[in-house]
Amino acid sequence: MRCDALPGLLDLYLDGDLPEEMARKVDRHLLRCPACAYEARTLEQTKRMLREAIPAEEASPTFREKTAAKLLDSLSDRLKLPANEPLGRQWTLPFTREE
Amino acid sequence: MILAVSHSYSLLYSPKQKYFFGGDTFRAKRASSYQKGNDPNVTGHGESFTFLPESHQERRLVARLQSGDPDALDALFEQNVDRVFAYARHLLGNREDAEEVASEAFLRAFERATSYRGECPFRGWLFGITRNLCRDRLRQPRLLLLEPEAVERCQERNATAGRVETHMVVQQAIGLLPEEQRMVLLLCDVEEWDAREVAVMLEKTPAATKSLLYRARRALRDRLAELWEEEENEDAV
Repeated sequence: MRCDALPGLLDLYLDGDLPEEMARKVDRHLLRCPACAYEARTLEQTKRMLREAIPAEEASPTFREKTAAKLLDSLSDRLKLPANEPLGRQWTLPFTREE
Repeated sequence: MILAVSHSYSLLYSPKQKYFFGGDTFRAKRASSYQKGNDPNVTGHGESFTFLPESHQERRLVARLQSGDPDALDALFEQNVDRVFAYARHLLGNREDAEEVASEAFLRAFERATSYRGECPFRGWLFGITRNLCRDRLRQPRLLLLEPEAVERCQERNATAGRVETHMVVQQAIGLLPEEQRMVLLLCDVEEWDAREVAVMLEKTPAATKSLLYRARRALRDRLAELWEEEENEDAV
């Protein structure tokens, strides 16, 4: 493998998206070529630092519950809810049933 | 004993187990099972949803929502809530605004669902609404306050002082990138979502999204190098 083949492959290699045979070729090239090894190392380091500095986001349980309730409330006139309970439908959770 | 639960609370969350219960039958799934894009199968109504653009399951759910099926609303909400929130959170930079925008985006999308004709994936439509709401919010005049969340989050994770400093420099560097590059990095490398999903959110092709991501990684690396070089020069003076 030559250096000019690496730019198109390096991100795929770092993301683990290269087929095994191709990944091995990149491995071997990085061991022999300090310039490409430097490029790979700095990109990998950047990715790692980004993940450490900024956590993945997740909606909180409170937000989920409030929003779900608000949506049902606001859209109740468009949803086919049982006539006797316009805003409430009875759910039966199997794990709560007495044997 | 039979426990009856109001439909208004059909999404019950168990913080300990991170499971949701809801729908017309007992359904349980790990809350995090589809948020990182690694194993994006979501169970609901006996169907297996794959979080990919233009999924047939999504179209079926939208059709059911249009006919007034409350379970379809549940399922579409569950499928998208983490992503819509995270997208807004990264665009706006704070949790409170992101929650308000995400809530409003769902409401608008579901209110207008009857006018949705499937020209693009429903998810793309929902993210378009979210993006516009975020931009409106960013245009509103506001007091420029230093966001304390970043520091607090570092402290919560017991980061050392040196690490907190590094995190702040990374956050500064990412703030220097153009919005598209910033978002693709946050969605692909922080949230670890599939580039095909991010392509829908950014209204790009998957190939263009990957190309943007690769450029963004190099741009972030170069900004970081510049910032640290500046810092070292200041220390040397």
